[in-house]
Parts: sequence; C-alpha cells; structure tokens
Amino acid sequence: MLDLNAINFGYNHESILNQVSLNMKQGIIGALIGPSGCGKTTLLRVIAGLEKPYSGSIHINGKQVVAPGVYISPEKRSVGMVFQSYALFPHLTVRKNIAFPIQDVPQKEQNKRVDELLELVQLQNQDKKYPHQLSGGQQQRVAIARALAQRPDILLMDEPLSNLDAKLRDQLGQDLKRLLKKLNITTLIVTHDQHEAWQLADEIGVMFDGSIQQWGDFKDLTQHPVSDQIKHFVMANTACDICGHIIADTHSHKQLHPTP
Amino acid sequence: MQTTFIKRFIQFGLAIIIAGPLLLLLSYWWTVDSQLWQHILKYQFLHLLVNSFILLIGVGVGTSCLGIGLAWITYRYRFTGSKFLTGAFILPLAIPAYVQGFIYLGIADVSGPIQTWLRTVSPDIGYFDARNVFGVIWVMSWVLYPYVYLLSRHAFAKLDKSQIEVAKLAGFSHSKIFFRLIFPMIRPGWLAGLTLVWMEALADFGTVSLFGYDTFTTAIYKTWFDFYSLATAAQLSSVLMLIAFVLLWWEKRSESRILHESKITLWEPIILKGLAEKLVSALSWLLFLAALGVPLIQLIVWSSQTPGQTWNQLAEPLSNTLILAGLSALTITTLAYLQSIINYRNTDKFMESIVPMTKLGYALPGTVVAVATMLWFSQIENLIVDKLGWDLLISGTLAGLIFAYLIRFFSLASQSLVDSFARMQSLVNDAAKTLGASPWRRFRQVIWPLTRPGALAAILLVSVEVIKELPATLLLRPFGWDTLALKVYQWTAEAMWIEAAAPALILILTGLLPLWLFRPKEESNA
Repeated sequence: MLDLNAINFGYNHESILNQVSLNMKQGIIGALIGPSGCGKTTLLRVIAGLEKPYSGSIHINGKQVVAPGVYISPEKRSVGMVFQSYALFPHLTVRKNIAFPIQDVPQKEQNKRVDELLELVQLQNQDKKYPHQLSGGQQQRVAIARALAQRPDILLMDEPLSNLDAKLRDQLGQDLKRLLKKLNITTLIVTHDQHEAWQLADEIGVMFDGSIQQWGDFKDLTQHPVSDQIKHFVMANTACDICGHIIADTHSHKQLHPTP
Repeated sequence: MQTTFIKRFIQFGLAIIIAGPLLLLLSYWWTVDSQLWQHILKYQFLHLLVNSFILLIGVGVGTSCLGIGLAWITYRYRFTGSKFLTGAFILPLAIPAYVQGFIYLGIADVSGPIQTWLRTVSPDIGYFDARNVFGVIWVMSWVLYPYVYLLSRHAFAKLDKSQIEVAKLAGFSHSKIFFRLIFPMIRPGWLAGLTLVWMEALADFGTVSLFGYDTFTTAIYKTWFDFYSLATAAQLSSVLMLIAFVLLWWEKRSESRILHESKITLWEPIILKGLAEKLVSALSWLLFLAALGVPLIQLIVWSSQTPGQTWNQLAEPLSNTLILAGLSALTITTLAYLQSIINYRNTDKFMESIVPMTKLGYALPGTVVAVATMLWFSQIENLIVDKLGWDLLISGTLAGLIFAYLIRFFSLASQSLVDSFARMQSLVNDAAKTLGASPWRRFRQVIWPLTRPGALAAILLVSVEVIKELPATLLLRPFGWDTLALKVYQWTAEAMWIEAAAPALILILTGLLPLWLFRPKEESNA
C-alpha cells in the first residue's frame, strides 16, 4: 500500500512537484507516464527517501514515513528501487550484487535469501557470473532481485524496459508483470513509453508539470479523460494497432475492447 | 596477396627491430663471468633486491596517499580553484625525478637553507645527510603520484550516482560507502596507476645515483663502466627486465578489470562553503605548491644566479637536444603510424599476435634498453665485418641512440595513434570507398585529417620523453655529445645546483606543455 498526500518538492525555489497525491492498494502495479521533465522520476526518488519534500505526507503500508516533523531515512522505509541504468556493481558477481544490501545479515541466512531470489528471477545457474556477462534482461532481473533482498513493502522502478532491445521488450515486459503479480508486491513504475505502461500496469497516472493530472485504469483514461491535454496525450498513442494487440493480450481478463 | 605479404613484412620487421634486442639480452646467460658474479652475489644481489623492495613499498604508499587523496578531493568537492587544480595536479609529472631530487638536496642538505637555519637556532644540531632512503622515497612520490591520481580519478568519474544510492537505500554510512563500495570499484584503476609508478621507480637511474642509493639500474651502470663487463650488465639487465615484465603483466591484468560503463549518471559534487571550503582549498593549494610551486621557484631563483658563462655552455646541448628530440619523434611516429594504418582494419591473426611484441619497450628501464641496443649492434657489426668485410659502426652514433628510443617509446607513439584510429572507425573509410575514392585520395582526404591529432600528439609526447630521458642517453650517446638532461646529471653529480638549474628549468617547461593539453577536466552533466 502506498499513500501520498499533497507532496511539494523543488530545487532552489523552482517547483518540481506540486501537490502530488496518489493512492495504491496492496499488490497493484501503477505506472507514471508523462513527457520528460514532468517530475515523474523525482517523485519516485521522493518516495524512496533520496529527496526530501518541502511538505506533504507519505505512508507506506500504513507506516508514516514523511509528515510534518517526520522524516524516515531511506533504509528504514522498506522500499526497493530499481534504477534505470540498473546500477549493478561491475566488480561483484551476481550473487554478491544481490547480497549487497543484506551484508550484515548472518552468512547462512544471507545465502538462503539470495538462493530464493535467484530462483524467483530464474538466474539459479548464473550466480557466479559478472554483470557484463549477462544479457540486458538478465541484468534487469539481477537489479530486481537486489531491490527485493531487504524484503521491501513496495517496489519502485525507473524506466525498467528502456535499456532493453526493442525486440525483447514485449516478451520481457510480460515476464516482469508475471513476476510482480506472483510476488503480489505494490509497484510503482515510471516510464515515458505508453505502450509499456499499458502493458505492465493496472493503474496509470498521467503527469504534467509536476502534478498528477489523472489517475485511473485504462478505461478511465481513454473513455473519461479529465482534460483535453490528457485526451491528446493518451490518444496519440492508443490508436495504433500494435497497441491494440498488447492491450488485448494483457487486459483480456477485464474484457476490454481495444480502441479501433 | 602481395599487399598481405608487404603488410606482414613490415609488421614482422618492426617486431624484430623492437623485440629482437630484448631477446638477445636473455641469450647472454651462456657466458657467465663467475668471478664477477661471485662478487655480485656475495656483496650486492640481496642488497639490490632489498633496496628495490623498500623503494617500491615506500613510493607505493606515498603515491597512493597523494594520488587517491587528491583524486577524491577534486572529484567530490568544488572549491576556489578546483577547476584549475583538477588539471594542474598532473603537472608534477613534468619534473624529471632527478631534477626534483637535486632540488630536494639543495634545500634539505647540509648547506641548504633548512639546516643553515636550524644551526642559527641552536648550533649543536643540524648536520645530517639528506641523501638517505627517505629522501629518495619522498622525491619519487612527489613526481610519480600523478599516475595514481590520473587513473584513480578516471575510475572515480565512472561511478554511477545510482550505485551510490543503492548503498544509501541499504542504509550504508558514509565511511562504509567509501570503503565497502567506492574503494573496491576504483581498485583496478588504482592498481594500474600503482604499477606505472613502480615501473618508473624501478627504471629510475638519475635520482638513485644522485642519492647514492644502489638499485639494479646503478648496478648495471657500474658493471658496464667500472668492471667493463657488458655480458654481466646484460645478465643484471635481464633480471630487471623480468621484474618489469611481471609488473607489465600485472598492469594489463588490472587494466582489463577496469569496466567501461557507457551510460552513467553523474554523482553531483559537493559545492563547499564557509570554513570547510577554506580548509579544503588551503590544503589543496598547499599540496600543489609543494609539488610544483616550490621546485619551480627554487629553480628560477637558482637560474637567476647562473653566471653568463654557464648559459653559453648550454647553447650546444640545447641544439643537440632539439635535434635529437625532433629526429626521434619523427622516426618513431612515422613507424608507429605505418603500423597503425596496417593494423586498424586488420583481421589477420598472425599479425595480431605479433603486435604486442612491439610494445614491450615501454615497461623497460632506459638502462636495460641501452644494454640491449649495445649488444644488438655489436653483434650486427661483428657479423658485417666477418661476412662482408665492411667496417660499420652504429653503436656510439646518433642512429644507435635513436634506435634505443624507438624500442623504448614506440608503444607511447602507437598508443596515442591507436586511440585516434579507433575513433575513426572503419565505416568512414568504407563510406569513402563506396563513394569511389581512390586509396590515395582516401588517405589524403579521410584517414590523414582524422588521425592527424593523434600523430601530432605522438610527436609531442615522444619528444618530451626524449628530452628528459637520461640513462639510455648517458650510455649510448656519441662521444662528447651532451644534451640538457646530461648537463643536469653532470652538474648535479658535483653538487653544482646553480649551474644545473637552468637546463632543468628548460626540461620542466617543455614537459608542462603536453601535460596541460592532456589534463583531466572536471566532470559536468552537460
């Protein structure tokens, strides 16, 4: 569960996030889309605790982490974050990369947890390899496993598919969604690519100029856009056939009809 | 078919020219002067090994502290002058160690200002010999630290902000982030820098002979010139060569572990303010002053006292130095260019396998290269006299000296060319080909303009190295032929600091130019 209330943030008097609020229930995959510079990555960093907002409050699984007079440091927030570049450590093996955040856990327990994570992301036999020996998709899974090592309550992902080969993106996107659903972890994904957002997320927030203009599922956004800006932004990308196929694939359980 | 043959011939010829003398050096073990070796083993060998070991440890610690410390400060903080200092911290590399050495002695020895002042304070103290192991380590650390600085700074700049944030999200403290994450990540860069330092320290001849500190290079010199045993000098050289190759192998290994991450987010440096800014800024400027300011000021002061007669004595060494530098730089760069142009689109496994042989010389001390060159030419001369009856003399001529520089500096020239050829990429050439350009036109209008900066850099770097080269020049020069570096050596050997200052100053000033051109710059997100 993730709950943001009226978050304000900026650098040097320049406002970047403006009264941002959102609410995600347990196990939901949310996506933030919007043009570059709209503040979506900054919002992710504020939730992780890498940036400190001026005002507003954040609750993670009911626990208050940001509020007037309250600021919990990143490591105590129970947040996992996957960076756009994956930020794997090139000098460490897959196993040591995943174990990195849990170095202080006793060795036996540490090994057990890493084994579980390796199995989860299906990299059991790759644990002695170094990041540069892995494919882009495998690197991404290592980054996810590492983010999950501390057993976070929520997962934040910055442009998870943008580093991958275009041909693989669809397949890996589906794999990613399956994995997140299996974990039933509340996840917030930032992306500039709407196809990716439609493919991965249950709910989508559209951001413009530092605030979320509309939050809702596919139906809300396409059928009831709150402004012309959103209508244009969303429509610009959903009219295409390819998009229709993806939507037909991933949203079939909702029995949605792809827009012609 | 035919062009392949010519290419292979050139490639193979270069490999023979450069690696041949070094292999010949190893073959000299079949005549062992047992008497001389008994003497060496009894009185010298262990002493030489221990001395070299102490030197390497000391210089390793000194350069690592200075190098990593300054790299971290200039990478992480912004303060008054940080932009200038980021580049300027490599400038001490322009000071030949033997020059820094005699400046140190001039200041710290018995008649220098420090001890003179101490005696005015209390007449009982202040007679100690500055020519000790600490002095050698101190002097070498101050001129060699830029290698560690440059390579560890390069490694710092490859850190990705997100990697640091992963550690922050895991709750690592600042010191834990540095020692558990950052230091392991820059370790390959640090080690690569350290091995360069060690190679230079082992190769040094001028400083250790000035300080009377026995190492392999001084031992080789003595065996050759005091015992007249070139064979034993060759054997000692091969021991030193072996150590150098171990270091070279180690350097390649560390370098191969330096990873090349393409896309990184800059970890924003901290803009210091207030007291912290003043402290860091003062410390950095003080260290810069100690490394470059004090030596330069001392040399300028001495030079201003140099008698006019000494200046007149410098005219000939100066022109000799320039001729030598120009001739060698052009020869070496031309050959290296030829090799690069053959290699850059090469797919021939045979040729690829012999390229590394041409790059061995840079790891080797000038003394070793000089001995190898001497042996090589005396063999060739004997052969020619025996078979053809011609009386040919190459050793002891300028050609012999330039040949030694070729062995020593070929890889320096080829390295700066490799980069510019790699940047060109074969595509450009292919594009020109499909547009119907003839080979000559392709060279003139595409390849040469794109690789010219690399060629000019090679000429510049090789000339600067040749200008300050001491041991090989000392051993192989034509009789009576002096260069600036040799003048410094001769005058400092007799403690004539004031006379030595002027040529030393010229050496440093020429060395500063290429360093400033290739200095590192502050990172920015732009």
